[in-house]
Amino acid sequence: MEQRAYITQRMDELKKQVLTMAAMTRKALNDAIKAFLVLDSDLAESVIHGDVEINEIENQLDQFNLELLALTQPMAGDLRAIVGSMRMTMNMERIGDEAVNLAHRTVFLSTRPPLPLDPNMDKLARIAQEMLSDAIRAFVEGDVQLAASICVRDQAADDLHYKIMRKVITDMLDESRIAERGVHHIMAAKHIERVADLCTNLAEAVIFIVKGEEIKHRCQA
Amino acid sequence: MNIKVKSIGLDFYYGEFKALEDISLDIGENQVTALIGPSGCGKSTYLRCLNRMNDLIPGTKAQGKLLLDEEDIYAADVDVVTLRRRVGMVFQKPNPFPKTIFENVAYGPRVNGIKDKEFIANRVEESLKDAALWKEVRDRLHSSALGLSGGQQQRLCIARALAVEPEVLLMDEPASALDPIATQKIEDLIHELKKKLTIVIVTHSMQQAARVSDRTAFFYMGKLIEVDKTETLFTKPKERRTEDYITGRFG
Repeated sequence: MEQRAYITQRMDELKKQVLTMAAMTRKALNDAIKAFLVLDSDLAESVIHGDVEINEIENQLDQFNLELLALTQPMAGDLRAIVGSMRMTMNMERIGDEAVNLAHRTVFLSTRPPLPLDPNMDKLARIAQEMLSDAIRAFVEGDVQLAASICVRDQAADDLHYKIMRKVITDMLDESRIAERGVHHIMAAKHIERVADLCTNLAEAVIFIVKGEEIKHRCQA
Repeated sequence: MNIKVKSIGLDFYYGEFKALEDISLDIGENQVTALIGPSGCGKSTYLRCLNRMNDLIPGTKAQGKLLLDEEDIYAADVDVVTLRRRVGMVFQKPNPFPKTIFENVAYGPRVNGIKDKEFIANRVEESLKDAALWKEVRDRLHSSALGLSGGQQQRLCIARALAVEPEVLLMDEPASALDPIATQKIEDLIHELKKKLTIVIVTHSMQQAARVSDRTAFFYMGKLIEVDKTETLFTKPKERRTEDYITGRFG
């Protein structure tokens, strides 16, 4: 096969694999959030067990990228696509880990009497889910503006996380017997807020792939 | 960046054929500038303008400005022998003279009128050291240069060029006929030599341009399409044609 055609084929394959991982990560996050909101321990357990597949595809993508670098000595857009994909897979794997952490909270909380949920938790979850979906869409479509909008939304996630924490702390001060569940709620909010942070990393990777602009650590500014 | 060589709107013709069109390019002192582009794009023609090697081809003509230290290379009063002493050249295939290793390197100083034997011997040693060849040949300086390996012959040609103390060294695909180890030696040498010289290299290997150069210029169909810091050009080219070429979409 002609070298350029070979590279194009491999780059298409890379994109497909990144999207496969993205779909798995999104499912893990959505299931973990759903399980948390309704305290469904079975669904939470499935998220925990499913993480091994996300880890496995991350390893496969690492190997795939390594081979592409070694065998095709990519330049310019190809090089950025590979480096950007490596960043994306690393961040998606971490999102998978946060989904697992959230699922562990759910498994624990499902063994205790339910604690009323702060409505902000639902809002925070929705923001994180949308940020992930949009990051994936921005990657598929090479949409830099959409990617940039993800960065902006991270502030809303941070604010909601802070509000939830304040509310739960206040509740715990009022009623100390809810302290254990309250801590799990605070940690759950933290896991979701971390997902939002990681989505900004995905958005930064998309901008890097498309435009070659490095906005790491400046994304939310 | 101090500018060693500067071309301003340079056109070059082989008879009626315009091989270079409106080339404006600054070449930084003590930098390595790589010229890349598909065959026939004008990169070697541009390189050969820098020491007027193209003058040897009948019917050629240059227009525009080409300055070495702000002096016009193509001015009527320029002595091309002096110019070629200041701007040395190494070619694609090693072309040592069928003489001894010593005589190959001593040739330049001799034709420049130096007769002092001790001075010449010192210059030969110094040049061979600068070309990273001294350790390999010091015991057989008076053997035929043709007995050296291809990589050694190419470094001998570099030593020969260095012996007249040029300010600029032009390298036309200097490693394309060499194996990877010999290539690496040439590339290591380029890194060393740029401390003393300005280097302009034509290469078909983008990986080589990426490894050795500070700035890279992309030529296409006789025009300079883009020039930038090497790390920028190979990761974030501004022009679509550059991107297409360096990612192998044409050429």
